Amino acid sequence: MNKLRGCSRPFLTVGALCAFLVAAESGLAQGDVEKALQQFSADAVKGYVQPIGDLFGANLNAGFFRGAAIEKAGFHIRLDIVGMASMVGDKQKTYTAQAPPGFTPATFETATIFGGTGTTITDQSTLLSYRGSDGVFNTSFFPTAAPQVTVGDLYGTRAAVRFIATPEVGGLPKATLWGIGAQHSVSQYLPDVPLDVAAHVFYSKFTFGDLIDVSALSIGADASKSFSILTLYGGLAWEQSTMKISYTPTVAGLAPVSIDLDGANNFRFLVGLNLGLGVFHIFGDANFGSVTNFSAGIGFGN
Amino acid sequence: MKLKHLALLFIAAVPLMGFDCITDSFVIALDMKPFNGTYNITPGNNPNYGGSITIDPGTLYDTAYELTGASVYDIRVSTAGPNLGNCSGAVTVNGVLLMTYNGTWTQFNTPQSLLTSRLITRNNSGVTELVNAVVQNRPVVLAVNGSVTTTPVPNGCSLTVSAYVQAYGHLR
Repeated sequence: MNKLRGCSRPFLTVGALCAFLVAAESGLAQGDVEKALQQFSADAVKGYVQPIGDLFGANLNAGFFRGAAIEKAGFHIRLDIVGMASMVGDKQKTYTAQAPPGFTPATFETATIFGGTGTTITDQSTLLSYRGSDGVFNTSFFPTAAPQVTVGDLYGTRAAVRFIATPEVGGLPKATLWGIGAQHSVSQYLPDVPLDVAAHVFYSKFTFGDLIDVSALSIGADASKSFSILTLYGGLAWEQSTMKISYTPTVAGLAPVSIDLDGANNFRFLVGLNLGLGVFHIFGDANFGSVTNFSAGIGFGN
Repeated sequence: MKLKHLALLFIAAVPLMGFDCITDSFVIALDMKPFNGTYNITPGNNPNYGGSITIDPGTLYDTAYELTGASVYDIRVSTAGPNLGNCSGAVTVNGVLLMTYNGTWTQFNTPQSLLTSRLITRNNSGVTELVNAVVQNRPVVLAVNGSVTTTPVPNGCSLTVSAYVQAYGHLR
């Protein structure tokens, strides 16, 4: 049975962005993950790492706004530290893998990168065996964090930018996460509606060395209602995300791998709460779609 | 300073909450490059053929991994060249019988797999020896002894044996 290695060391870098960096801080170098992936052909790696695409995509499309009240013109600036976390469900822990040609059964359920021990199958006629790889990450959710600045308001529009980067250090490649987007007030055209309503579009991108490149897009409608220091907010969004993985397998004879994995989430409903104490804010929201996601954080500004 | 401390606390807390475990010594399945041996059949009237080839298992997988186990998941036999009648023989690994094969030359012109063909019969001792050699990183001597029924043998005839092994291991 595998032992579990706890992440007891503090995170030294502000760019504790994602699983790979977390893994590195816990003693599992990114190179280890890369070396693990390098054992897979393009066909074999898809199912194994698909959950990363699903969960990371859901994270990148989360935590952009805490309300829909935007003035036609006015001064707004706010800095938020936003944490996003997608739940790792059972469906993210196994996938259907292909057995070698001629094997019976031809496919089998085995661990993804978030799963447990890989499944061993036995060919019914020859009793030869074949197994899947073990999972690498044992976790209940997959986190990402980033600082975000929103500025406005101009023509009923507010811009949001998030950015965080870590340099190449200690064998870890450079990692960069950035996002840009805008919210536009719809309420200004609908003065009789008792809620603040806005529309948004956000685009995010995360790169991790030459290994991983994730992009995400969210377009949606947002609404909020303030009650004194509390703001209840929610929204509906269409979204899309793609994770590109590129590497050269170390197994001789396997072609270089460059695959695109589409994230599972295409639609989300979210509901959240922002507590404003002067310029200090605490917020959190729950997001429901193919992937369940939560975002929360603290903010400073108006 | 208060703001900075709060921000750092939050940033540290988010990844730590729940995302707290990496599976230690996780095992990765390594599909090794197959153990291939091609044995040319000497042109002429001799119906017998044979030979051996030595393969270092360490050249067939990423040696950054320390192996904890291995399994043979297929063995294939194929022939190249014009029909030589019936073709039979035995394959050994480090002197231990791995398999026997028996069929027509033309049947083997299409690679025959242990998984699907009745023309190949494996021997468990040889499978075990191959697995042990891989895990212990010992050289593998893959030898063939066989015969055909039609002579003279023309130029360009050969028999190829491929043993497919999957190794399991974790990073050193």
